[in-house]
Amino acid sequence: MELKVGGQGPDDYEMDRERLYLVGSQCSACQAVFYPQQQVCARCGSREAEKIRLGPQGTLYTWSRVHQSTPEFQTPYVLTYVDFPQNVRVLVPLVDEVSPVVGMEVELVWAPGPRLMEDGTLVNLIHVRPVNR
Amino acid sequence: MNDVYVVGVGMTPFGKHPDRSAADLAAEAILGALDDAGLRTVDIEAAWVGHVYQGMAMGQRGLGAAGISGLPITNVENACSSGSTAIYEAATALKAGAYDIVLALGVELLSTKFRGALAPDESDIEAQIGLTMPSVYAMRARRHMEQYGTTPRMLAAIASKNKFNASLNPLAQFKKPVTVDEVMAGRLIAEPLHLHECAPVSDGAAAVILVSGKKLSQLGSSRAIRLVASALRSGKLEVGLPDMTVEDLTWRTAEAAYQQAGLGPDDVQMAEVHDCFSIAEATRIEGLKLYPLGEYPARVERGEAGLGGRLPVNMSGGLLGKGHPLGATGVAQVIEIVKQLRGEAKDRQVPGAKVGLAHCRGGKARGVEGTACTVNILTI
Repeated sequence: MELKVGGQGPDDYEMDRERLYLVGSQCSACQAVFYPQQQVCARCGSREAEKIRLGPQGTLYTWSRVHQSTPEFQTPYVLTYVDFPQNVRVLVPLVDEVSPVVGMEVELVWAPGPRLMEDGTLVNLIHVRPVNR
Repeated sequence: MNDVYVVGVGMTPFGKHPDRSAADLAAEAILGALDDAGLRTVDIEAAWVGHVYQGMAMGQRGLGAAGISGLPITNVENACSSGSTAIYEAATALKAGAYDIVLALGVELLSTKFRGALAPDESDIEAQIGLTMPSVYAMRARRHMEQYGTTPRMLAAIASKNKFNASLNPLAQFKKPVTVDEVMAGRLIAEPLHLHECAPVSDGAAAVILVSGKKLSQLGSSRAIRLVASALRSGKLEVGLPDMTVEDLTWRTAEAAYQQAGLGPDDVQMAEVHDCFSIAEATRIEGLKLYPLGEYPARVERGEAGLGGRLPVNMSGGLLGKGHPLGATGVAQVIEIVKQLRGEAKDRQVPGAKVGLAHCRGGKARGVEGTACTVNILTI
């Protein structure tokens, strides 16, 4: 059974020369950037927007290692907010076995977890990992 | 606009009540508030009922269990601010002159519905990749530590203070003080937050009776407390890279309340704030401008927020100590301020308090820092 996870659909990312980008939207009127794509601008109300690539690198703004969660997740796992140079912040899990540090440069990558399928296997989700690993 | 007064308060003990119904808890709080006010069930002209997970027509079930029916009843859902939003709506109707005696109730029976960490609604895309409420606040705590030198022990001191306050409140869920070392030795829920730094799953109900100034002069209650401000705001969709330690929503709500009251942060003598997590008490207090940004946790460690301190915060025990039955929380905060201003808070009485503030905010949706926030200011 396919599990639908928001922000991880075919319109939400692009691969280009083995690098992974998120695809957000940029308001055509005021340039505000949103991820996932948003039809109406939250800042100015304009309904004109264009797609914009986010990443592939960003800066780790904050993090937490989550030890207790809802049953759909395998704990522990690390969540981070990543600031992208396109002026937008996105929640992204960090790959396993990495010690998070605020300010660390990270890049987007596909990796399993922390979400579980009904059969107990891990879902492949967009993560970040440290650059130059 | 009409003045608004609180003339009656009632609440159940907060804690686990899996053998009771939400309606039964609601009835206990309502009847307690009526007795406190010296009013009868038929005196209530309209009611607003805050809850989050109690299903359709909770208000009608709860009031019905107290023998009240037929009047205008409005059910209110605004995440953790549901109960305080009920107070806001009730006060707004009184100010407009629509009624003279109204009821605001908050109720929640959670222990039979939930275990573990609460998460945003399952349709939220951040919840779908693992965001839980503890992790939202854990990530704010990490930033507070990075930017201001806040330490895990300072955050643990907030939890320890509130558990101690709860030990002085017979209606609180937690009866036993917890030391800073015990907080630090607890299991981690979302780093850097430990078990005692997270509000528990709780059941309970709380009710207040509000009257117009005109009705108060007819009733002649000497224990009435004036609600001088009641403000409600929602989180703005965030654009760009906002500072996660700054509570814009709390400040916009507080600014509206201070303005209504004709008071400022310096006038506030005690506060009940929404400490769903230890770090939350810090960002609320700083968001209300009761302390400069980044300074509060260190001041708690020095005892400034306890009984006898410069600004007692969460003398009821707060959400961490008193418990957090979502819908009932915002009403119970106002009840604590009323008891304090009446001088009826017994062992935890703040001497001579004349101005108290209750702050409640909650919920998380993608793109906003918080969903709903209320600030109520009360004076004698």
